[in-house]
Amino acid sequence: MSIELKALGKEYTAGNWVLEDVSAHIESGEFFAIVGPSGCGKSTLLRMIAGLIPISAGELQIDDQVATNLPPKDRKLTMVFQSYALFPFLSVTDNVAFGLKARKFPADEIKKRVDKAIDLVNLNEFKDRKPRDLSGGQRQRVALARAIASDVKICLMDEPLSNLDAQLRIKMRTELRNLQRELGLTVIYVTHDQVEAMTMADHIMVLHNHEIQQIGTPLDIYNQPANTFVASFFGTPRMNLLPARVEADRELLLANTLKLSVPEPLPVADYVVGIRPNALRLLPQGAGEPNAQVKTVEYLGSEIILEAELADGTPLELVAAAKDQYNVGDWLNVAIAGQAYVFDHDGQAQFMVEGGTRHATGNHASVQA
Amino acid sequence: MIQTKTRKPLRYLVLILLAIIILGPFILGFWTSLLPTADIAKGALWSTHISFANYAEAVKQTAILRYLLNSFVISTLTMAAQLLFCSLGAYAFVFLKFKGRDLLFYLILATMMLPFEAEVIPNFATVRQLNLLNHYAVMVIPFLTSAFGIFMLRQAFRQIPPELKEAADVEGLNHWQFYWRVTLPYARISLFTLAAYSFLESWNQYLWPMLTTFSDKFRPVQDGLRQLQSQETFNNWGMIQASAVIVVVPTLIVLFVGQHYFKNGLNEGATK
Repeated sequence: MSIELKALGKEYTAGNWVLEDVSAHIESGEFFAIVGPSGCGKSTLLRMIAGLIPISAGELQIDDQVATNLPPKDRKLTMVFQSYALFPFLSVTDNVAFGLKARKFPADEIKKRVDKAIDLVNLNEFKDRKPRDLSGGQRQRVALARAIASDVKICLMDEPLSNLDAQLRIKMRTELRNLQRELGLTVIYVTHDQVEAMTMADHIMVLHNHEIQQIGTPLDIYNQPANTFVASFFGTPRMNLLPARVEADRELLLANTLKLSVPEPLPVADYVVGIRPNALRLLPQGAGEPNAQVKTVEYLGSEIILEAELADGTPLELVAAAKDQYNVGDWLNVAIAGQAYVFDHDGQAQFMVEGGTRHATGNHASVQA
Repeated sequence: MIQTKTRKPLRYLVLILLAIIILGPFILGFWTSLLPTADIAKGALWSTHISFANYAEAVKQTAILRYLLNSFVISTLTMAAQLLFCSLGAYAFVFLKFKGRDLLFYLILATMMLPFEAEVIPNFATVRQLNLLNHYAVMVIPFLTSAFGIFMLRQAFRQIPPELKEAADVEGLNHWQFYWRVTLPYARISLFTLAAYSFLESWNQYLWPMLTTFSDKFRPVQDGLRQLQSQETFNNWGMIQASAVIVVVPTLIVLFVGQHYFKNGLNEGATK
């Protein structure tokens, strides 16, 4: 049950494209996440695949068959909604059986499937309850059971975990993933939470500004972001994006403070350099001239997140070891000690500098100078 | 604390006063229905000749049971028709998309501004043309649907989360199935309310049946009561009062049952 999106587009009013040129291939049995900030059109895309919103341009194939204009029920898929969309007047069993009854399955077949689905999501004790008597997590499971009960192998999920509290969400992530593997479901999962996408998905599609920003595995997206949007969207704490200009032949000056050596000469232009907080090193105090001032300190237990400002006022996030003491107003000495991503002034990725040890000394020296 | 202590009795005092004002006439009416007409005529309200004789007489001598049956048939038919047609209309205004939908809805709303009295003459002309006078149909057909009912159910249907419709679409429910299996059960509290409302509305009709019915065979209760007064030459007030109480009882039952459902509905709540 693979799904093929061919240059899908959606316009509500003529010429006003909410989504443009969305192409992707989703393998059978894959967990495919669509991620983006709110309003990026990810739910619209999901509803276009489901058939709830008509497709304005392009072609949709499900299982190698054109499905662009098929009614939702003929697309052989199920959907799990953010609000769960349970029927408040039906018991858990009836909610799960709803679709099967609508499709006129024989009664014994319905019973068999419903029992199995309820069993899979561990809701046996709650079979006869109404949704209002269930907790958020249990309602979520009912919605899942309803999707599982039908034998279709494609399941669309629209932010199914975002109404749950943080701990339950983490637990459900694993459960959902295991269930998907166990049943061999093809899941298209919409979320605004990059952590959810990173931890669950086989492939991630990043949507922003009505377009695909990047499609790739979670590792690809984290390690080779295609542009500054993807770079700053994935990873906590966020990647620092620093304005940069060519300073010398093979050197960039970041935010008028930090120097970064590059392997080859760059044309003179404005650049943006992305550095994740964990790729920045805090030099011991007194090791050189300090270049950043602490603005806020967040203790996370295992580490400390520092928000600092570089000498020219550019904000910078840093990670420090939990054992160290920092106070607001402290001056720090920051050096690049890991990967740095160089983007052009439009935010498109150019190349990556393995800062690391090779350049660390150079940077270190230049910072000190 | 002090505030609530002084406020509570005050609140109850106001409530008791209001209750007396509202219930007073009814209690008085019920009391007089138990008294012989002679005592009522004398104004001897504290009489001790209490009996249900007036009721027995009303049932025996007048067509009150026939009036009750007529009203029951008319009200039940009207209620059923309004539930069906108002819910279908409201469904269209919420779940179907068509050109001029909102305009049409506002047009229907606008008809609520027209008092019924203003429609009486054209409606009368119409039903006479249709040869419907003096028949159940004349009291049901003009009230098959109501703008208020459509308005009320539209509001109720709009509360249904759009995800339920989407979920139903994915499962392949057509409009009729969604209407029957989701919309109606979801909005059943509003449906009960509309049922009670339309039943009472119909039960308490006076002007229209007065114009369109000429025989006891089809006359509903309210006009029947009026009829009793003119028929009985000696104006048997005790019996008329007893008939009035008989007529009010179904109203009270509907209100009581309706209130019970309404309370249940409030507790039921929707699940997010």
